[in-house]
Amino acid sequence: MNNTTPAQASRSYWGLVWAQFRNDKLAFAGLIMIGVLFLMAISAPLLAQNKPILMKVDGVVSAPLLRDIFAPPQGTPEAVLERLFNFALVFGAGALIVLPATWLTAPRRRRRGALLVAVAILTGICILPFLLVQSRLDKTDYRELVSQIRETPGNWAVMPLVPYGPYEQPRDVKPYQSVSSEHLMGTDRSRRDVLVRIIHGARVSLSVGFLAVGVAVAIGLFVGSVSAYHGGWTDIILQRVVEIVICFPTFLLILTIMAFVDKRSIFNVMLVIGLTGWTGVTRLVRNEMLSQKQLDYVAAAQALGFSSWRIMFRHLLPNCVAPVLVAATFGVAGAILTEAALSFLGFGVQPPTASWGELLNQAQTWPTGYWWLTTWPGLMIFLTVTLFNLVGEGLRDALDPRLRT
Amino acid sequence: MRTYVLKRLIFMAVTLVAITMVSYTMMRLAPGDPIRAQQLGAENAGMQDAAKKETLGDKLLREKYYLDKPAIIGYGCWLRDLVTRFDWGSSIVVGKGAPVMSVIRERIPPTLKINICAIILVYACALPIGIYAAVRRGKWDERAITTALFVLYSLPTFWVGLLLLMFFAGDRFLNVFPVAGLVPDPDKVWAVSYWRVLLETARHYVLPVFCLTYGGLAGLSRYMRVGVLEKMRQDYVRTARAKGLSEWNVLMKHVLRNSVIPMITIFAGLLPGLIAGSIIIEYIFSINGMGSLSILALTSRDYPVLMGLFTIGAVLTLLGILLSDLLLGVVDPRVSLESLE
Repeated sequence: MNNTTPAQASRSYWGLVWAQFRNDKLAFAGLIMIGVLFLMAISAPLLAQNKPILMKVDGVVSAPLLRDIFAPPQGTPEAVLERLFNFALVFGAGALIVLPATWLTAPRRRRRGALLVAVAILTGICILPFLLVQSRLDKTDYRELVSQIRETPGNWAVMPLVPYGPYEQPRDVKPYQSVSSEHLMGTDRSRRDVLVRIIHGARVSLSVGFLAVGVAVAIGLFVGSVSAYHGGWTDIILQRVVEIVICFPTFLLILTIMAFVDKRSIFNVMLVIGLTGWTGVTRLVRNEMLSQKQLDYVAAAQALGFSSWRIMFRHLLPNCVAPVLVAATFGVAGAILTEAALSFLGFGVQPPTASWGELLNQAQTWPTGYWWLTTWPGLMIFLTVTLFNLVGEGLRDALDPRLRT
Repeated sequence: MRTYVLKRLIFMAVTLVAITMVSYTMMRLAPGDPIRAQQLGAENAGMQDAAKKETLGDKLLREKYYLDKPAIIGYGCWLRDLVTRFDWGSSIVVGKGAPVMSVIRERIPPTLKINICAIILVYACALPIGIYAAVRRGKWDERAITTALFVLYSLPTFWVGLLLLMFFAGDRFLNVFPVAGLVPDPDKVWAVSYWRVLLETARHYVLPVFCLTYGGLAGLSRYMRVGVLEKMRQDYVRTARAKGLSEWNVLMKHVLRNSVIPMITIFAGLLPGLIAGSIIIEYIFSINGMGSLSILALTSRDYPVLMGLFTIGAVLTLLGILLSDLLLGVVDPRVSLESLE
C-alpha cells in the first residue's frame, strides 16, 4: 500500500473498495465459496436427478434429463423458481461457449456490440425451449434401465452424480435409512435421498435470502431517501412509522402471517421477511442522505433545475449505497436463517419442496436417532450463514477502514 | 423529566395500538376462521354429521369472538373490551374457552425462568470476554476468542439445540441431560434431599439456557471488545497511564466504566430477541412456556390468545427501549433526557 503509483491513485471508489476487499483473504474466500454455492444451486439437476444426462441405446442418442430441465414438474408454487434456476443453468452453459467465441472472433473495435448481440440471441434461444417443451410424466426407472443397457457393448449413459430425484421416493429404499454408500447422507421420512434434497434445497435458501433482502432494500431505499430529501412533515411522519415498525415483535409477526396464509410458499416467506426488515435500511439511507444533502453537488443539481426525484435517485442515492450494501449482506444471512427457522417450525416452505429447514424439522421428531437428518442440513445452513457474515464483515472493513479494529 | 416520560408513554400507547391493529387485521384478512378450523378437525376425527352443519352454537361463538363483524370493527370491540373491562377475551381452543390472561399467566413462569438465566449469563460472560479480547489484542488467544465468537454468532439456534440433544441427551452418545421439559420427573425427586431436587432441576435447565445464551453472548462480547478498544485509544486513558496508574486500575476504573454504557442500550434489543428465541427453544426442548403456547395458538388460529401474546411481546419491546433510554440517562451524565428527543 505504501508505493502508491499514479495508476493506483486514480482508481475509482469502487475499485479501491474492491482492492481492499481482495486484501481480506478470509472474506474473499467467503465470496468465492458463495459463488460455488450458487453454482451448486444452479447446476442442481446435473448434480442430482434420476434421469441420464445423455445416453445411447441401440445407436440412438437421447437426453431424458433435458425435458425435466426445460419443463420441471408443476404442482408446487416453487416450480417458477425451478424454471428460473434451470434457465440460468442453460443460459450459463450457452454463455460459456458463445461469449469466448464471440470475443475471439469479433474485430477488436466491435467487441462490445458483438457481445451484446450474442447475449441477446442466446437469451432468445434459451427461452424458446422453456416456452415450447411440455412436461410429461415419465415413469421409466432410468437407474434400472442404465444398469441394463450398460451390459451390452456400444450402449452408454451419463447419469448425474447422485442418481436420485428430489421428489423421488424409490421403492427399494427404507424411510429414515442411515448413511450408506448408496445414500451418502441417508434418506428421510418419505424415502427421499437427503443429499439430493440438500443440493436442491440450496435453490430455496439462496433465493429466499436474496429476494427477501431485495424487497427490504427497495422499500428501505425509497422510504429513506424520500424521508431525508423532503424533510419536514414527510420526514416526521415517516420516521414515526419506522419507529412503530421497529417495535413489532418481528419473528412472531412473521410466524403469524405464515400461519394464516392460505397457501404457504417460498414467495410468501420472501415477502414477509422483506416487509418486516426494511427499517434498518431506511435509517441508514436517511442518515447518509442527510449528510450528503448538504454537499455542493446537490445545490448544483438543484440550480440546474432537475426535479427532486432525479436528484434523489440519480445523484444522491448512488452515494448512499455503501452502508446499505453491508447491511444487505448481513441481511441475506439473516433471511436465510429466518427461512430455515420457519421451515423448521413447519411454517415455511411446504413439502414436497426441498428445504434445509424442513429436513431439520424431520430430524426434530427423534434427534438422537436421526443424526444424519440433523447434521447435514444444519451444517449447510451454518456454512451459508457464516459465509455471508464473513463477506459482510469484509465489505464493512473495506468500505470504512476507520471501523477496522 | 416528567414531560419526557409522559411523551414517551403516549408514543408507546400509539405504537401499541398500531401493532395490535395491524396484527388483528392481518389475522382476520386471512381466509377461514377458527370455528371452521375446529369443524374441519372434527370432520377428521370422524364426526362428519355433527360437523357439517353450521349450528346455532357456532353462530353464537362467532358473535362472541366478533368474527361476524368486519375486521376493523372486530378490532374496535377487542380494544373496547380491553380498555373498559380489562377483558382479554377467552381462548378458543385452550381449556374450553378459558380466559386468555389465565392461559398466558400459566405459561409465563417457564419462559421467564430460562430467559432470566440467559440474560444474567449473557452479561456475566460477555463483559469479561470482551475486555479480555480487547486487552490481548493481536495475540493468539484473542484470535481464537474472536473466531469462536464469530462462529457462535453464525450458528443457528435450532441446529445447536438439536445437536445438543443428539450428543448430551438420549442414549446415543452421552446421556447427561434430560430430553424434554423443565420440571424433573416426579419419580426422581420423590423423597430425596433438597439438593438433589435442585441438581435434578438444574440439569433440565442447562441445554435450553445454553441455547438461549450463546447467540446473545457472541454478539455482546464482540460489541464489548470493539467498545473497549475504542475507549483505550482515548486521551483520558493515556493521561491515566501517564500519571502512573497501574494497568489494572486504568482498565477497571477508566476504560470499563465508559465501555459498559453502550451495553445498557443493547439490553433493549436483547429482550425481544430472547422472547422470539424461546419460541424455537421451547419447541425443541418441549417446554410448556409462552413460545409453545404461541405455536399452539398459531396452528389453531386462536385469535384472542395470539392478540394477548402480541400485546405482551410489544409491551416488553417498548418497555425495554424506554428502560434502556432512562438507564442511559442515569448512568451517563452527558446524556440528558431532553437531548434524547
